Amino acid sequence: MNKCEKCKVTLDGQPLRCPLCLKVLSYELNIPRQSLYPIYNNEVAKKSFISKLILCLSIISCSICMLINILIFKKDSTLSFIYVLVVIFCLLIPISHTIKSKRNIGSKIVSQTFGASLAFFVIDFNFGYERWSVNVFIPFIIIISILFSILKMLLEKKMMNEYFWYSLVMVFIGFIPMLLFALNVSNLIWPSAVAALLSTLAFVGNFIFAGKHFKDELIRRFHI
Amino acid sequence: MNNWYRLDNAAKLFPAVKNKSNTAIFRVAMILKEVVQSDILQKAADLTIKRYPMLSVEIKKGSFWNYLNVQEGRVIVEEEENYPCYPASDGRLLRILYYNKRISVEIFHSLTDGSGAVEFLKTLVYQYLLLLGYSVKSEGLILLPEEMTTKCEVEDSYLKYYQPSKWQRLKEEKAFQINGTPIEPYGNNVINGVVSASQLNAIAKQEGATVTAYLTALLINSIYFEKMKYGLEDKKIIIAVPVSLRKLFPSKTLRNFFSVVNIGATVTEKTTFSMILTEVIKQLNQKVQKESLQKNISNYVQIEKNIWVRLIPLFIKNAFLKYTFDSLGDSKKTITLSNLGMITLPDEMSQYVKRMEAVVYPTPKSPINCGVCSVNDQLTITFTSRIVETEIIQYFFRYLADVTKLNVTIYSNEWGIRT
Ligand SMILES: [Zn+2]
Repeated sequence: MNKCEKCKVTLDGQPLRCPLCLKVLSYELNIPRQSLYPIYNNEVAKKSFISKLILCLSIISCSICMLINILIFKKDSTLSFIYVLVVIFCLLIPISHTIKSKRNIGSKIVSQTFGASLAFFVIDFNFGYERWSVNVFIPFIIIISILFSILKMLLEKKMMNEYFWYSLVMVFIGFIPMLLFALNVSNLIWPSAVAALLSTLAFVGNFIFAGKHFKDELIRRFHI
Repeated sequence: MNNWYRLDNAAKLFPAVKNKSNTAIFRVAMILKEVVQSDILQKAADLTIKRYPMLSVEIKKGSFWNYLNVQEGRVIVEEEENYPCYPASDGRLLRILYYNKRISVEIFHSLTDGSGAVEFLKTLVYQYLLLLGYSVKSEGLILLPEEMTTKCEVEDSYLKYYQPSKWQRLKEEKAFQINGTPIEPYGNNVINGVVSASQLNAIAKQEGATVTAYLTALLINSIYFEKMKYGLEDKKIIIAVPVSLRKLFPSKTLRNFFSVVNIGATVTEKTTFSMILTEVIKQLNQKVQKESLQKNISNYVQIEKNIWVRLIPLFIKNAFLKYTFDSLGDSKKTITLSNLGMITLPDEMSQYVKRMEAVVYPTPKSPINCGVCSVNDQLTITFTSRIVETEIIQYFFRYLADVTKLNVTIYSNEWGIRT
């Protein structure tokens, strides 16, 4: 084993430098290094590079939109770049929420539903507001999410109590299109009604099969 | 057994303050004499985790408190690839890692403290050696995987052993804090020094001190000599020393049960090492006592039990805890020195174990921390550092080698040097 004369200590593991005084050490060739720690490769840096790239690209596209918008401002006097900004933001948040984190699948579904709904609404609002988003798209996104969570629940039975909480949240979300209809925001009832009915049925079904979990879950979530 | 746990009193802090620069993940490790076989270690882990349900959990947000949900999945044993105590990107709270001859257990501090982690590691290595076909016996020193987990082992001992008392305002002055150049790339540089436990103990005894007191005094001396000797700082050097409460209270819990005492000294040019040591011994005797530690924990438990505090929504509690930790906890100490003490292994088992390591994670205001652990007469002092400057650590080990004439063996993961 090597010694560092300056620090008066023995050095194990053939370091490049003395860990204490950082003096460069030399070794005779052909002695295999006994490794005490792994040789690190920086995957962490790679991951953060990808998320930085996504952020960078979205900033670039936003600023291009803004520039075009300002240049043609005299012809078209709406500030439509704001909508592009909102849409990108709505897509970006759920993407990073879903890919980067290992969150519970239920919370991913809820956040995706919100993000996509908001994005469609903004696009609709920007292009003449013909209400296709609130009338059809948003109820259908919600229906798809509910069907997806039912499917997930059936496939992975042990996750039942995990989803239970989100099926409750889904009931509230399922009724949002009906609320929009009641407030005269949308003017086509049947997609909204289907979403509301489906979310109620999903919850009732869940309660029949996993009612005990529900009580447990309430105690866990609200214990003081 | 329960399928969820409330967080104990100490555990409540960590979810609120953890982030990339304060991972709240610590490591205990055993270095064996032979290369670890991963498939056998996986089998040992599968058996061991059943005995420690409080470690097989995930953390969940409630409306008023976080809680721990028992998970049914297994713990996957992995080869060590990253630096010790790296942040968990996937939310796992327990990692079992192996590298060459080392078996490491890295745990999020909400689950348990150093003593709990050592118990888990002992069971894991014991089971691993058994599966390798060695005839090791537990001699009552190991919690066996086939035994049932008792209620005492999962209890919140803070709630059990606190005593209602008058709220005490803890007055402590601001401590000197170590500054330095952050290591690039971001990570922990770990520098271990191995000495003979019995020789160090003899040297400490000569001065009428315990190993903890001796190392604490030496650490104060090292920080002073390398950082404050130019007369620029007159702040106190304060060493935070975590103390396991299991020795003072009859608790068998495998969850958190520790308290932290702050040992401080104002050092000037005229202060000698033995003066510092006398002061450290005095403060340790005063503070590591049942009454004063009980007052300490009662303070915190009473806040937790206050009905108005309980009814505050979690996100407000977290913001408050984070503020309190930054302004009161982290800035009132210079460095943490955690001594897990001498670990006794059954005779037959100890011949397969070379030494142990305890790695304490650094925090933003305490960029160097220190963990100590000994087994088989090998005492390992592990510094974990986020900064390039190594003068304090150099002074510390050179003092041990030069002044006390101990044989010091140094090894490091060379983060920032090789990376
Ligand atoms: Zn050196």
